[in-house]
Amino acid sequence: MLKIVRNKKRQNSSEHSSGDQKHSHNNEHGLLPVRLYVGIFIVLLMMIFMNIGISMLPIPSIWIVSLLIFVAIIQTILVAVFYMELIHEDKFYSFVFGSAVLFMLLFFGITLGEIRGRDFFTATEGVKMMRGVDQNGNFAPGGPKLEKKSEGSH
Amino acid sequence: MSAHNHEGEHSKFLAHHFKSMSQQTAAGKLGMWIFMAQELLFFSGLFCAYGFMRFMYPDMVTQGQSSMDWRLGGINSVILLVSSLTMSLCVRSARSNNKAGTVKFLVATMICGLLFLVIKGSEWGMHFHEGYFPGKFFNPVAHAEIQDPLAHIFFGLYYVMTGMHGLHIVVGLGLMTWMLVRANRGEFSSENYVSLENTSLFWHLVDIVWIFLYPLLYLAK
Repeated sequence: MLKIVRNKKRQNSSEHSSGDQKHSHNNEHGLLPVRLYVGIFIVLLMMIFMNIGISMLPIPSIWIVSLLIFVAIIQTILVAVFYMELIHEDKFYSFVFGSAVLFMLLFFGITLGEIRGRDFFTATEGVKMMRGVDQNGNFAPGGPKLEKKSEGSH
Repeated sequence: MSAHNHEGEHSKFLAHHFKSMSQQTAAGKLGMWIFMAQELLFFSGLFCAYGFMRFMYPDMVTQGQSSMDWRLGGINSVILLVSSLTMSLCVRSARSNNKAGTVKFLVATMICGLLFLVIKGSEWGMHFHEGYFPGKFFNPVAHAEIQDPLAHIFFGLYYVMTGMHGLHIVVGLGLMTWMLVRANRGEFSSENYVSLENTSLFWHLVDIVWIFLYPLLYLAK
């Protein structure tokens, strides 16, 4: 015990600055037990089978997709917290990764919200959107040439 | 745990522009997390395209998904999950100064990555056999289940998403090969492990991307 304390003291005295001491504290975290890694693996495995089960449920598609994404998010959190060891890393790493998640959600929200807005304008303002045309494949970039397309081009 | 830390001494793995190994480790990890934030935003563009496609062509996407074999996708999910476990144990072994364990778990992770690519490649092969090529090359054979010409949009995105993911697997395997060489040289220890841990973080990110790809491409009918 005394030896450990002495080693630690020597280690601290060799640090050049208080900033380094902070880094040292952040990076020299303990090891997670192997049993925990295996436990997380089993939970993640069960979640894969849970997702397969959800896909076979006789419920509307929107609920299936929502449930699948919900389970996937929990799986992601488990991987990030335990396998990527965010549980005992510097909280700044979580902030960096979390801010990317935040911008991703903003990106999804704005982009996918805009599509819903198109339907709103189509219904209320009578604005003709490309979607109706697109269903025929006419405006699909690089798509196969349909008969309608060749007619339209003349 | 024996303290195997020579902060005061100049480690041979310490780059000249760092004061100590712990500072070097912190800088390396921060750089990796910033890179991973960027990776997340990169893949989010593809997932957003998927959401867009699903909203615009719900019937076509359902039809396209009917050609996906959820069993093969499930096997690949399990393989990637096992690889994540072995990669975590690999870093743990390195930090415990267990060279044999580090090498063993690294090789196990690489085998899982290769298996994943083989299964993914065979899936692509099956789709090509049916004529489900991306974009303007989409030309299903007569007996193919999907004949809707719009399905080229689904397969285009499917190849891009799984292809980019596969490319990340290949990059991960390349990094692991490099780590294997270094591990064999006995370079990793409780003092010097940041490059191995960064490789592990990259591999876990690849796993996270697949955690979303599998349900969205194979299961969400």
